Amino acid sequence: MNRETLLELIPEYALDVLSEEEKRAVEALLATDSEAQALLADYQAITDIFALTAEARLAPPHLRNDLKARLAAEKPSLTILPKPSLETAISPQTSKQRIPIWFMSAAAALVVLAVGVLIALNLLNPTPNQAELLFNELAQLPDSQRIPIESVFKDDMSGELIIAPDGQRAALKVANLPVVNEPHDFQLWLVSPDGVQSGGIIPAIQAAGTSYITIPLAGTSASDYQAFGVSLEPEGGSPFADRPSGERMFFVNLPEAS
Amino acid sequence: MFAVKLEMDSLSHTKTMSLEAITSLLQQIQTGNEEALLQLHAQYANAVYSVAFRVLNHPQDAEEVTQDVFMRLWHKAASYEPERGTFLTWLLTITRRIAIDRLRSQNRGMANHTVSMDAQSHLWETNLVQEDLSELQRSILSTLEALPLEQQETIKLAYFQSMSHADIAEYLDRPLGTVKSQIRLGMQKLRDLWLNQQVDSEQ
Repeated sequence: MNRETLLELIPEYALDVLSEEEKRAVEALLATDSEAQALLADYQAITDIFALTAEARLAPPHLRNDLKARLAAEKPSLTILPKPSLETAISPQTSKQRIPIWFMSAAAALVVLAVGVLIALNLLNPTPNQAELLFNELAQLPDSQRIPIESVFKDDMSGELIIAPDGQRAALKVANLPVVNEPHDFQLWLVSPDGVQSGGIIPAIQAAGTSYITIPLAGTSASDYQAFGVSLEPEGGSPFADRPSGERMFFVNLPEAS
Repeated sequence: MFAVKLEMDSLSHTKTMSLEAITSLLQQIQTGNEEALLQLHAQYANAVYSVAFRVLNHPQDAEEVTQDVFMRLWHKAASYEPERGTFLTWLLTITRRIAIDRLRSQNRGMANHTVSMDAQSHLWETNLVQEDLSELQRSILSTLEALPLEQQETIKLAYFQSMSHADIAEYLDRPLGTVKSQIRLGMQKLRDLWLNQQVDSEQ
């Protein structure tokens, strides 16, 4: 191929569409020909911005946490040193100051026992949180409005929305929100004719089993809203102020105000 | 999906990051500052994902390419040279190359570009933000979009799918010679605009 023919191939070289044979021929010209080099620089500057013609898409929010995980995975792992034995961990002391090992062991055992009792008591009689108390209170009122939750996204999820008779207070009870690993959270959303607003974060670690969620009406009425919903979000909530970014768990359509 | 339609924000609302800010973050990345990388990720992940998806038309592959791009940035932050172009175009050039390498390694050839019924797709009407492009670069993009359809589609198939002349000719069912001349004519028009506007700016 002569020089003129090779110069004509430079735009396609910039696009990387030449055959291997053509590519080698152009590269041989580029090695020595300054006009060819300048021509290629022009076409590369042009093709570099073609990427901006791609249709805009949102990167999935979990990519941020995934990137953090990849960065963490690249760090050198810590070497776990063997724990020193009890005897070697204790600093040598004089005979007058030395605390008998049997005493320390007994004290440690008592602490473990006490903590275990406390944990057991807590598990057997967990303190209901404020949302659960509200739900139970509203459930006692004869004219509270009760709306079942039916998830179209998770078959085994169920629950109920309960609204006080005056519409000023409301709470959700949900069973079988999926158990997720940190760092994810659930987020409550309030949907009204004015748009969508966050109702707060429900830390995933607290959502195992049956969850109770207070609807933060904050002076408004439940009748001001069209729906409440819950989504699964990155830790800390949706990156968007006015909409979920993650998987929808459920939503509850509210009856229209009569 | 919630009972009411949820509008998606447009990338055109993305704030511009100055060259000084980018340079500072790249320097911090070189010292091992992960938060600096995450800031660039927050700013540019959408653009990178968009280009990766355009090439691969596969969400998971596009996600992996996006992460590969930012991990490459983590390791090679020093390789960006501002005098050679904007950070965004440099980043997207890397994205395209990694995505095309993946496409080739999978022997997928022309990625299936049937329309995805993703719930968000109908809300995306704008192309990627042209946040820090010069007037000349904006003109190049406008001219590309204004090229005759045949020239535009051959150039985009070549750029995004890394298809050869022969592949494009087969895919579009056109003679090989026609495809070659369409690419050359389209690229020539773009370069003519490039040269004319450069002369204007110098005068």
